[in-house]
Amino acid sequence: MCTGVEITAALAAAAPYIAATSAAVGTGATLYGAQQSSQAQSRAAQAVRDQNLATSQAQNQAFQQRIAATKAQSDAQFATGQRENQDRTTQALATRAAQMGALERQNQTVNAENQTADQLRAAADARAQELLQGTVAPGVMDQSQQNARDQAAAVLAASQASTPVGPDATDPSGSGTSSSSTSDPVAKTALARRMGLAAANIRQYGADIAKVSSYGQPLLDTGRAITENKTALMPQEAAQALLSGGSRVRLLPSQVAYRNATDYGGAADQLIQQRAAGENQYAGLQFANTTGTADLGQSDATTRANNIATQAKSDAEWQKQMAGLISGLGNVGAYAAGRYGPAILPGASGGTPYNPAVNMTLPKGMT
Amino acid sequence: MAQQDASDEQLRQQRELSDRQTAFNTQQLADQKAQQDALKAQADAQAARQTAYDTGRSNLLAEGSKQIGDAFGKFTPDYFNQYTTDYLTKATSDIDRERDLAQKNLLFGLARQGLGSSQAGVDQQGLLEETRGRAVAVQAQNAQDATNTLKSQVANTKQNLLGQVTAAESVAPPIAGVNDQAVNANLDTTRQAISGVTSNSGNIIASLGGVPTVSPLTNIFTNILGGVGSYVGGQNALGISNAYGINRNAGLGGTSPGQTSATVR
Repeated sequence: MCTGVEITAALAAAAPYIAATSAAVGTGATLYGAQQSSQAQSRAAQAVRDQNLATSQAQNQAFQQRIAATKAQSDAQFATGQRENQDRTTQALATRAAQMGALERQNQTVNAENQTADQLRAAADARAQELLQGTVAPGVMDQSQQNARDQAAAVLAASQASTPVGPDATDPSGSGTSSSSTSDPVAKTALARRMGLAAANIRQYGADIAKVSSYGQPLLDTGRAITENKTALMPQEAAQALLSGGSRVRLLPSQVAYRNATDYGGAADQLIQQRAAGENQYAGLQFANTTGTADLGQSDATTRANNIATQAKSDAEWQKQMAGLISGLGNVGAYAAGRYGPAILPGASGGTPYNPAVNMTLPKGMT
Repeated sequence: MAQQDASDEQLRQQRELSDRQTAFNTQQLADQKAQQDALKAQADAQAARQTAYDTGRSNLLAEGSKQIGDAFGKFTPDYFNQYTTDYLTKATSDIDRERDLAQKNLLFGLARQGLGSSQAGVDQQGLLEETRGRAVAVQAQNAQDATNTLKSQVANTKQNLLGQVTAAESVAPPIAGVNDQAVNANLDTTRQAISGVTSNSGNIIASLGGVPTVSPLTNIFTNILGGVGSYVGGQNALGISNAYGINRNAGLGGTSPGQTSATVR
């Protein structure tokens, strides 16, 4: 068993070595800690660089994908639009052609009906002109009246001998002549004169009658002309009624054709638009999915890089703390060597460590 | 990867949905086209039937009108002139018959009085002829009036018949039937209706073309004969007055038969 003196002696003998060792170890630990801290900071910076690089690459890749998706959508929409325009144009032209065909047919039907109507109208016009010429034309009524008188005179003249005859052969005078009732020349002359007077009276009387009666003749002729005109117009009127009665039915096919062309053209156009809308919708969906995938990929890459960087920074921080601890221990060793080393070393004064506040010599004029 | 699979599946479904929609619309369009074609075919057929129907009715109308026109074709100006002549001939025949009888009576009367060659007899014969001529003149005007009446009757009857023919057109409906059988049935209906009208036109025309009816002419010359009787009576009175020495010019104040003028005292 060692005594205190012996221990003190031993320590005193070992003290220089201990102090030297403590100083060396402290200095080494301090240097080691500083190196580890520096390495940790370097790894943390590298992790940030790696994160930035990964994020940039992910962003670039996603950008390229989005660009490609946008171009693909644009191309698809352009192709769809071109096809839609071409199809709609073709369909519109076909619809227009069908409509024009229907209108042309309607025109042909109407023209044919008008042609027939014109013929009927021309016949009716001719009859109307005849009626006017035969009734109210200048002088016609006067002529009608005169005709009645002339006809009456002609009829009467035809039934009247130029000179009225006297008793015939059967008369009691026994003259045997048909122009006189007597064989007396004087009496025959008197009879002839009297018969001539009678004939003149008869003609005058007949003319008087005809004159009176002829006043009504223009009205009779006009009324009859009206009746005959109506009669002549009846077939034309009936034909016109027939024509107009069936017109609607004859025009129906062209009207149906026009309506069909319009409806079918509209439906076909809607179909084309719907198809184009479907294709555009598909392209849009494809764009959305592609960009969504790119966004997701970018987000994943960014998150992964962020996680890695965060982990690396945490590791570096831990290493940095450990390095600080080691460096602190080294500083303690160095402090101890500095604090107690001179006291135990041979020739040491055993005084207190240097205190700047006490031992420092200030320049002149400073306090 | 899962995202890509989901996207592919979504796109496939979208493509399928779009294709199905397009196929459905295409089928709808085809159905619409077929329906329109059927409607168009029906309209074409209906229009063709209507044209055939109208043509048939128009032909029937023209045929009926022509039959009416042909039936009335006999009523020409010559026909009516002949009607006037026949009317007057018949009337003149009656007048002449009465004139002959009256003339005989006159001549017998004059002869019985020994006045066969007298001025009075000549004058009476002249009056007789004047009466006959005036009667003929009146009948000539009557003949013209009758002819005018006949002309109006003919015109009205023709109009009436043609009106019936055109009215017969309305017996059948104006719109053609739904098939050819209906069209033909309607045309047959119209044809029968028109045939009924035109077949009666002969009877109607026959009633118009009868012998002219002349009013009975009687006692036209009664006044003449009455005048002769008066004249003969006057002659008898003159003979009596001469036989009894009576002044023939005194007290009577009248004109003596046989004198051309009278002096009133």
